[in-house]
Parts: sequence; structure tokens; C-alpha cells
Amino acid sequence: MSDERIEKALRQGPPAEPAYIVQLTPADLQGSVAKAPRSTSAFSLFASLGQAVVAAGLVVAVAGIVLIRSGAFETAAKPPTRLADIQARGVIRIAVRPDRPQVTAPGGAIAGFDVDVATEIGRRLGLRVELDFTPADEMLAGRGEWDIALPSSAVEPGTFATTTPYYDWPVQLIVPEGSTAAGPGDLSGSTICVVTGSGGEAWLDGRFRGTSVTPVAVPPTPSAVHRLATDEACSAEVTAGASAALVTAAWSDADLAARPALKRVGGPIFTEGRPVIAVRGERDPAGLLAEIDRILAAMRSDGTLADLSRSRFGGLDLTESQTP
Amino acid sequence: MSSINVVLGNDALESIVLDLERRHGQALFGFVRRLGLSDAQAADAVQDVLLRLWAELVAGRTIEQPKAWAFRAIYRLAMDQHRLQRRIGAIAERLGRSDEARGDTAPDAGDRIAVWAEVARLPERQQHVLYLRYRADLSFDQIGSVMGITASTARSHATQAMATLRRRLGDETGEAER
Repeated sequence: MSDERIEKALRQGPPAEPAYIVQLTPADLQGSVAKAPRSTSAFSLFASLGQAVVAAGLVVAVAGIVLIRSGAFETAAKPPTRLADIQARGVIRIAVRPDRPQVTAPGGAIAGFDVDVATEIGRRLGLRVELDFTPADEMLAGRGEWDIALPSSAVEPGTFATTTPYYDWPVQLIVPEGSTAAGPGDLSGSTICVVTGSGGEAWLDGRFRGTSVTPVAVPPTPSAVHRLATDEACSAEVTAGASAALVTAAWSDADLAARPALKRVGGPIFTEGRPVIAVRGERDPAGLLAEIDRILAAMRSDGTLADLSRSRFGGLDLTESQTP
Repeated sequence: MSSINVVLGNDALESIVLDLERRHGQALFGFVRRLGLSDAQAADAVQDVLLRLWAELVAGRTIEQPKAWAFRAIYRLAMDQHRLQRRIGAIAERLGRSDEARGDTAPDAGDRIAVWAEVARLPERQQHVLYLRYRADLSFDQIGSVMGITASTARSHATQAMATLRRRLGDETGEAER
């Protein structure tokens, strides 16, 4: 490997380094001068190493004695709900996908709409946010150690508890510029490409059960469905003539505008409502999601959600119609 | 820039600190994580240092290089915390407790994975110097100041580290670069 490549990789930083979420505000600074930092971990609560060691030793020892004497290692009372558990911990772990609607900036930092929304949810909960960048299919398989997740995809009812969708994404049918197809039905008998695991795939297979704020178009009956990993791969198929169309649940109008050889067929085939999810488990997540629903409603009413959408989606507000 | 806090008002000082967090928060966070802090502790450390910087600036102290100052302060915080954690760990171990490590999940591929896997095998000081030099974009003078070593020692660590990386990565890919 050349020095140039090594140095470039060094500048990009470690691949597994979590994103640091910018948190300070002018109010924090103005309020901090006469006060201790607002940090919540033990890290900042001690003025010196000596004090910290003594205090930590005492805390651990006393806690150990109390627990041992009470036989409480296995039976210590836990907070009754998942929300209380998270509040007691002081940290909420939120999974967001590392790809769209996120972007990876030079240097490796990940930013985007879901990162913004997750950060704001944590802020309004009064909790520190730990972002967990997890592919959507992993989230929807329930893998990962997170409290809530923003898979940015349609979520079928059942496995997960969900909030009201916080934004709605128009899923599009894309064909070559020269295509005469005017609607999905015109593509029956053709090969259609779709991203595996996307809402578009479910629609094409006739099993879409997510929410949509626009009527769900009747899917065509294709001669074959090519299931690929990305929209870019499907786009290459369509451009090469191997598929007559692709269904995208990730491309925006701006993405399409950058590809003049392709065009959209009509309006959205459906508009995918994208909620926050939590795994159903031994502790009921209803209270947690109700609180997040309340926060999302507040973000919607004070304009925060719309502002975030416009800033990340080229001026579009995709949060307007959150109810089917 | 020799008396930044005299020339600038509070609004400008405020923007220095907020801008430092926006532009270098990630590198400060990543650096202090590499020094052994958890994600939450690292995020706390970044904010603590930035708030200390702010307090220093508004108190009228001259800080010519706020970025280098922040890295130096966070390095010292981490060293203190690192020693503290070792001692707490020993106490906890005696009481039959253990801490759990969390795996990283952020995605990436290719050169970054290969290069940083090799960085992790380097001596700690070389790792820190490489991070500060390339990720945080500090000069060798600044790195020396952060780590309490001379600039020439910092440069020497970087040279040795790069030679090791070059050798190992070249070997593994079958390339004969030197």
C-alpha cells in the first residue's frame, strides 16, 4: 500500500469510531461560567484523582457489602418500564442506518436526517444519545443493542412497537428516459429491479403492509424480479437494458435529476411512512414510544421536524402528512 | 492571535468554542476513546474540556492555539481517568465485578480497516502520535505539547510508526513498496 493511501486512511480515522454528536450551545457556555460542567458521568464529578479513587472505592465497597448482605445480586429491583430503565441509565441508545438518509462526510463523520432526529429526541428526553450505526436489515431483524431504532423504512406491524411515522418517503418507479410506460401496469411482463429488503420489494411482491399517506398503486406482474443490494446496482441494470424499471425507496428528486437517462413513472407508487421502532420484550416499550411520540408531535408543531427535513432533503418537507 | 481574549468579545469567544466542537469534536472524542475511555466518558471529556476552554477565555486567559490547548487538556484528563479506571477495576475485581466492553458497529471498509488494524498493533505512543498528526491534523510541535514530549520525539514516533505500517501493509498485499 502506498504512503498516500496509508495517510489518507489515517486522515479518515478509524472505521469503527462512533460519531461524536455536537452538543454545546451558546446557552451552555453562558450558563457554565459560574457552574460545574453539565456532564452526568462520574468522570467529571471528581476534582482530582485522589478524591475519585477514594470515593469510587467507598462506593463500590459499600454497594458490594449491601448487595452481598441482602442477597440482592440476582434479585435487585429493576425500574418497572423501559423508559424508566433508560432514564435511570441516563443514556439512550438509538440505532440509525449508516446509509440514506444519512451521508458520510469527508473524514468519516456520519450526518443526516435520522442522526438529527435521533439527537433531538435524546435532547428532549434529557438523555445522552449513543448512536449505533446499524444497517436497516439488522435493525429489522432485531439485532444490536439499542433502545430505539430509526430504520427509515416501512415497518410491518407485529414484531416491533412503532411510533407514528415521523416522515413519509415517496417510493418511485424509475424507467429509462425513452420508456413509454405511463404507469406500473405498463411494466407487467417486464423485468423489474428492486433493492432486497426494501419496501419496494414488498410492494412488488404484493405483500406491502406498511403505512402510506398516498394510495398504494397496484403492482405490475413482472416476468422477473431482480433483487440487488443497492439502487445504484439496479440503475446500472436499467441503463444496460437488463431490467425495464427499478423501484427505489431511497432516491430523491435530486438523485433522479442527477441521472438524466432515467425518469419517474407518474407519482409515487406509495409513500412509505417511516416510524421509530422498539423491540417488544419483557419490559413494555409502550411508555417509551408514547413519550417519543409526544416529542415527535412537539417537534412537528414547533417546526423542528420540518426544518430538519428541509435542511437534509434539498428543501423538501417530508414530515407534513404523518397520518395515513 | 497573541491575546485572543482581549481582542475578542464574548460572542466571538463563544463562536471559537462552538466552532472548535463542530470542527474538532469528533477528533477529540476519537482520540480520548483511544486512550481508554468509554463512549459516554469520551463525550463527557470533550464537553468538559470545551467548557474549561470557555471558562479560561472569558476569564481573560490568553490561549494562542485553542485546538492544541483542547487536545492537551483532554489528554491529561484521559490519563487521570485511565489511572482511575485501573484502580477502580482492581477494587471491582476484588468484589467479583467486571465491566463489559461494547463492540463498535460503525461501518467502513478497505484501506481504513487494514490501516487502522495495523495501527492498533503499534506501541501506544506511536498510535497516539499518528492519531494526532493525521486525524487531528496537529503539528509535531503541538503533538509534543499535548503529550509532554519534544517535537523531535513526536516526529520520531511518527516516522517509526509509518515505517512499520509501510512494511506490514506492503507485506500483506504482496507489494514491495518501501
